[in-house]
Amino acid sequence: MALASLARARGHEYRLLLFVGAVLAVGGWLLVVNVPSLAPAHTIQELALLFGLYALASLFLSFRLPTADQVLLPVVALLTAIGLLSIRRLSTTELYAASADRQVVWLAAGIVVLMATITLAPRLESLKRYKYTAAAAGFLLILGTIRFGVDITGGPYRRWFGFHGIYFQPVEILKVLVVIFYAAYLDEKREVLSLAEFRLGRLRLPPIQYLGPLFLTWLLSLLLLTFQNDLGSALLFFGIFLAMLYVASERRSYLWIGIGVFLVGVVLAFRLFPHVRQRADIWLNPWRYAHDQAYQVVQGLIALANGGIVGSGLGQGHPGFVPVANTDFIFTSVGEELGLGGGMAVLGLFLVFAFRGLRIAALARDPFERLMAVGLTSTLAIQALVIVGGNLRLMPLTGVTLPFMSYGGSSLLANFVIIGLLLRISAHE
Amino acid sequence: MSFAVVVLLFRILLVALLYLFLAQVVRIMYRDLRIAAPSPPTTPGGSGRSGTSAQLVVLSAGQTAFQAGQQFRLRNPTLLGREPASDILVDDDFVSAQHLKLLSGPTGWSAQDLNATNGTRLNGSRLRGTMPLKSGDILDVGRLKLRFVLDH
Repeated sequence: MALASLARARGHEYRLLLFVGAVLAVGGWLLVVNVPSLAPAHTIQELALLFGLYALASLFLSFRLPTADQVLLPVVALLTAIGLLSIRRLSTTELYAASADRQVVWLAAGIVVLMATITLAPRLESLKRYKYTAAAAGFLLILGTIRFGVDITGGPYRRWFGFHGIYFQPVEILKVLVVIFYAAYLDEKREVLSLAEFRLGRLRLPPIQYLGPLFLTWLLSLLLLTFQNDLGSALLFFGIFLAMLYVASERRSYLWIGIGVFLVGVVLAFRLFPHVRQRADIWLNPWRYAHDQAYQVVQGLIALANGGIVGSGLGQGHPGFVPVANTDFIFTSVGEELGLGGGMAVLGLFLVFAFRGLRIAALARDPFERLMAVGLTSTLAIQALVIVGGNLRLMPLTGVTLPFMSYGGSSLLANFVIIGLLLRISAHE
Repeated sequence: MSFAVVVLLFRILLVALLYLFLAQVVRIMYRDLRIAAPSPPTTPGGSGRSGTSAQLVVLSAGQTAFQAGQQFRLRNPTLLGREPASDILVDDDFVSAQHLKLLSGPTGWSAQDLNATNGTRLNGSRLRGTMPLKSGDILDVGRLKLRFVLDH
């Protein structure tokens, strides 16, 4: 009886999760049939475990947060399901052999983190008080990484913290900290700013209270770009800030100013740093470098072309030919084996996520929560846009993960924190 | 039916399931939008005297002691400002003594800026001189946000 009433309380979520279960079942069967080198029992068990974890999370929400959004969790579940199927399928390649098992562990940890976030952050307003702590922690984290970090790809850019074989990417935590800071800051200053204006001759500029953080963000982005060669994160942080500034101020002119400032930064970086120039060159002329720097991009394009419209079928393509196929290039793995159809569906899922996140923002009661929701949603949406755009060569390739699909612990955990916060904001008791 | 055909069917089924999921989600979101949409402000063919009575609804109270959702019935004219003689006394540092006047004329209601220092925003843009109001318009007076609603 109790279960039936719970299913009624979150009926949409419950039914959507059944679809996710069906995808896992069909995908699992195809993997087992098409990839003989996979251990069938092991594969089926881990997919069943993933489904069980989401069922548990849904049950938890029914008790703890029955009015929370019902679309978010199933969308995330489906993205992680497609991701895990691709990663498991890639585990036949020796390089990725261990990643599927680890990904399952990270997913389990992620869902625990999701539930912990919802339990520990019952009142989001308390986060406001820690805005400068969040900002300071963020800057220390990034400076610390530049100074003490390691590069697990063996290059000169330190983006990871190593700890006994577990590598951790601080940028992922930074996303959440930055959103908390901006939301609290813009919320605090919003009232004064809705009327004040800073004029420079005929030019109407944002008031100085906006220019401060704008400048800091610009600096942070440039720091990431030059010392870590992390164009993706640079774009990400700037995008988050502009989205939140726009929502806080309700003025379109600030968007244009922000984009202008970013372009100035990009031109400066292009002039000053050879690795930025090189990156643009690879983007524009990938075939010239097809056997060295652009190998990845070119192999990704070949994989997508090979997949065509319907795809080669799960387990029937060669996604392992693309370097880092299970992280930055997971979209090409999906595009190859599930085809344009599957790739478009993945983009559709991200679109639905963005729409739903902004709806949560629009319905939020408190301006701080609204800004949080906008920031958190744009974080994941921009990330998806930037990496898929890079995979498809619509923009220079940047090393960010595809949220919920790429292999990687820090990314998954941070993203589940984001989902926990969004669910929390969406619940109106 | 050969095994290869079964595999092919399952391949198609896998992608089809993704789209079925999306279709479900879109259906849910469409329904949510229908529920969330506000009812139209005026019913067509309503009362003959086209909305001469109107009210202001507080959307956010800013610094004042008003409550969000609080309503003020409008007289003709209604004066908003910080001075005690105002029809609606707005106690906010960003509001001038005589800030804004709402008038009802033959063409309907309009808002008149009384040269307030920090001005008024009508639907987000600066109110200059006298501008006509329609039901649902948003007025920012200092840190106070108000919605103008015609009765019907």
